[in-house]
Order: sequence, then structure tokens, then C-alpha cells
Amino acid sequence: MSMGNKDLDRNAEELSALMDGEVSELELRRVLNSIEQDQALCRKWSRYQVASAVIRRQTGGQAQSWMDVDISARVQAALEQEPELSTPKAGRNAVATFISKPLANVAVAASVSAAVILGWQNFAAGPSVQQAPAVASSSVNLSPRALTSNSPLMAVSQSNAGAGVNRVMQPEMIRYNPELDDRLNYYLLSHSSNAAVNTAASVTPYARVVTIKPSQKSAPAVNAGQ
Amino acid sequence: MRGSSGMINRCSRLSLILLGVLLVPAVYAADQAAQDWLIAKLETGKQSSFSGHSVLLSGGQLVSLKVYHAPIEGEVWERVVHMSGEPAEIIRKGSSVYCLHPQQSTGMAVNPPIRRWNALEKGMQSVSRYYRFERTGLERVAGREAMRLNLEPMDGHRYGYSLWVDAESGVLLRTQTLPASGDPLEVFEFVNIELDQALSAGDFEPGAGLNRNLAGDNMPDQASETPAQHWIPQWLPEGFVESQRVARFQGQGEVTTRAYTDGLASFTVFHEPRQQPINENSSMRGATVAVHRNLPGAMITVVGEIPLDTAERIAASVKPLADAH
Repeated sequence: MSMGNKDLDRNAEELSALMDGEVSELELRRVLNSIEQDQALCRKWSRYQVASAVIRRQTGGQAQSWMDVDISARVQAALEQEPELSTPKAGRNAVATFISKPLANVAVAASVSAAVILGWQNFAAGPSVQQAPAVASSSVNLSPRALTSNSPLMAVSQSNAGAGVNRVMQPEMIRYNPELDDRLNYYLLSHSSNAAVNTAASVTPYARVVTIKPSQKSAPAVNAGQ
Repeated sequence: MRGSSGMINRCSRLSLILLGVLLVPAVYAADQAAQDWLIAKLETGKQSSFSGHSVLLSGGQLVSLKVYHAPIEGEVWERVVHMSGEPAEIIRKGSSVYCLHPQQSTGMAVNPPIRRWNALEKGMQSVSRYYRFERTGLERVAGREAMRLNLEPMDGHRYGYSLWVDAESGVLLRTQTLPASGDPLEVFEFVNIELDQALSAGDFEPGAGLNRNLAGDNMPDQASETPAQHWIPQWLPEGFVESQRVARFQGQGEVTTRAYTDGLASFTVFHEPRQQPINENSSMRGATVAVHRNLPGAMITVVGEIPLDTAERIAASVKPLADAH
């Protein structure tokens, strides 16, 4: 068996493992590198994603149109039209960027996951919000439609942003709102009490709560926002 | 060849899962046995008196904890001490829960009477309909023998779990919350544990440097104990039932809550009157999600250990009860 074949096999196996979210950080880099350099592998990746989305019924009825999409051609076209990467919010551009720059996207996915964590920390950690990432300042309303539209391509983020998230957490989703997040502290404690009493989870819910810290000296007024 | 065999493995795993779905009635009896075993063990475990060190890995963060657990004065007492980072403790004495920090502390009451596994037991009637039980054998956790149970969800509205139950005492030594694929969202594990310890009330006193004065020790009045009557989620994932024990918190005011569980997963829906709409958003950390949604004149928040899609769907389905009919 030649080296080339071995590499091919390994790539395919790693691609498969990536789909299952079972790759290490190192393998992830290698396989994304390979995808970048290998058109066939890249096409295989998108086929896997579509298949996965169909199996998990996450196509939102768009399975047919995805099957027909020649992503690589679209990427080429989009790249020719869009040399700048400065408009990440346009869905199609984001997709094109994703395909053409897998490594860059891993970085994005990683930073999104960091933002998710920071976002949570924001409302968990109270006073330290002043150092919140820039992400926190963008306050765009969440549109479920926009989120699901590129989900089949975003599953790659699973190894970074939490494997259960079938779509990537978008920066728009993370906003810091002191008033709301103070409130959320109480909600989390309340929920954890319910969880501890009503499920088999033992002390785990309280272990979660411990990370929450009130952000003000005084208890927040219930109707502070009115 | 390695590659193709890997692929075949993955394919066969998938077909096994599909096959499993078809064979649910056949394995139901086996599930039942594992389920009964789990209930019996956990029942024993809750009566245990123990302390130990544990870690919680969640949302990319590792938290180390000291845990005390004992039945005292006919109630379950628990004390969870944060061993790293900011000092913090959670102390539960029966139906009262306190969250203590250096600057400020908060209190909370869960509706009594507490019978810890009550909802679980009731929920367990249905648990085997929504999870596939599998006992995989003994593994070593915290230097002890633990029976591992895998609970695989039958739909996408709940996470899977792996539970390591101490073979002797029934104490949960390790839990993993598992998404449909990939790494665990949350891992809780005892590193060491001392069972059958004679713990007294003194072991449940907060440590030095924590604020013991609860800010405005005013628990909500009786009226707020009953579940909300003026709103309801019109959609719930199958198998989740409303748990009667609703936690009340300080400064709850007009906030009303409904709590749901399937025996393993749980979520709580909050309804807060509010004139100004908020920016609807969702966030998640580890296995926990928080979803804010607007209703006319109110804010809905869903908090729970369920997939984000499910939480968002629940939040979006909340309607004022007058309109629900």
C-alpha cells in the first residue's frame, strides 16, 4: 500500500472522527489542513455534513436544495466577488469564508466558544464585566432563522464550542445585560434547587451554582427595569 | 484499510443505534431491571453520611469542591464548599438553600416537604420510556468500585448520562452529561470520599470569611408557592412533568415559576412582569442553557440542562393562560 493511499485512508478516518466529534485538537488541525488542500476531501466533508443533517432531521426542509449545492463553485464565485472578509453577518459570505478558510474558522469557533464561556462568566462573575470582550457590546436580536440556516456547515465547531451544540453559538447570542444577568443568578440558583430536589443529580446542581456570584451589594429590585 | 474499517465501525454503530430504536420493546425488560436497581441504590445512597472532594468540569472550567452530605434532623443536609477561586458555599438544610459569598449571601426555600427522590421515583415510571438503560459493569472511581450505567436518550430533547453509582453505598460517585455526539458537556466526579462518617450539624456551618447575614431575609409569601396560574408553556418535550417543589427566592416579587423534570433532566421556566421588552438571547455553559424571550408585558426565561433548541422551543411556546384556551 502506497503512502498516498495511507494518507487518504487516514484523512477519511479522521474526517469521519471529526464528524463524530472524536478528534483531538491536533488531529483537528491536521484534518482541517488536509481539507484545505484536498478538494475531494472538502467535497466529502460537505457530503458528510449534509448526510448528518438529514439523518438528524436538521435540514429544516432544505435537504433537497443542499444536495444540489455545488459548494466549491459557490465558494469560488463568492471569493471572486468578495475579497474582503469584513461582512461576517451576511450568511452566504460566512459560509464561503468557512469553507475556504477552515483553519481560520477553527480559530473563530474557538474564540466563539471562549466568548460563550466569557458570556456566561459575564453574568456569573458580576463586577468583572468591564473587561468583557468586545462581543458583549454588539446587541443584535437573535433570529432563530439566521441561526439554523448554516447549521450543517457549522457542526465542525462541536469540538470547540461544546459538542452538543448542533449549531455554532453566534456572538450575537451573547450579550451582557447587568440587570437581566443579576436576575439570572437568582433564576439559576432557583433552578438548581429544583434540579437537586427533583432529579437524580445529587449535589451536581449546587456545584454549578457555586460559580455564581451576586454582582451587587444589595439584592436587585424585582422590577428594576420598569 | 484502517480508514475503511474505521468508517465501517462508525457506520455499524449508527445502524446499531437505528436497530436499537426498533428493538426498544425487546430491551424494555432489561431496562426495567437496571432502572429498579438504580432507584434502590440511590435510595440507599441518599441516607448515607459522607464527605469528600470532588471536581466539576463544565463549560471549559474546572471547579474543585468539598462536599458534605448527611441525613440530619430527618432532613438531607448538604454543604458544597468552593475550594478554588472566590470563596463560596452552598448549604442546604432540608428545604432551605443558602448561597454564601464574602460580600453577599442569598437564601432560597424549596417547597417542603422534601422527599428527595420523590419526583425521581415518580418520574422513573417514565424514565425507561425516554432513556435506554445499560449497566456496563464495575469501574473504579474515587478509589472505590462503582457500577456504571449509561442512559441514552430516545429523542433529541434531553441529554444522555453516564452514572457511576458506588456499588456498596449507592452514592453517585461520578456523572457525565452527554450530548448527541462529542465530549461530555459536564463531568462531576468525586476524587476521594469518606463514607459512613459521623457528621454533625457543626460540619454544615459556613466557613470563615463568608457573609452569614442573608440580605433582607424575606422569603416570598405563601401566595407565590403555588405554581403560576396565568401562563403556561404550550409545548413541552415528551416525558417532562411539572414538579411540585418550586424554589422560592429572595426578591422574587412577581416572578412566577414552573419547574419540570423527566427524572434525570430538569428545567425551570420563569415569568417576570416587565413593561420594556428585553433583547431576546440565549446562552449556555456546560450543560446549562438560559433563554430569554419576550411576552407582551413580561419576560420569559428558561433555565435548564436540556439542549438549546429544546429550551428555545419551550420559551417560545409560553402563552398567557387566558389566550391558551
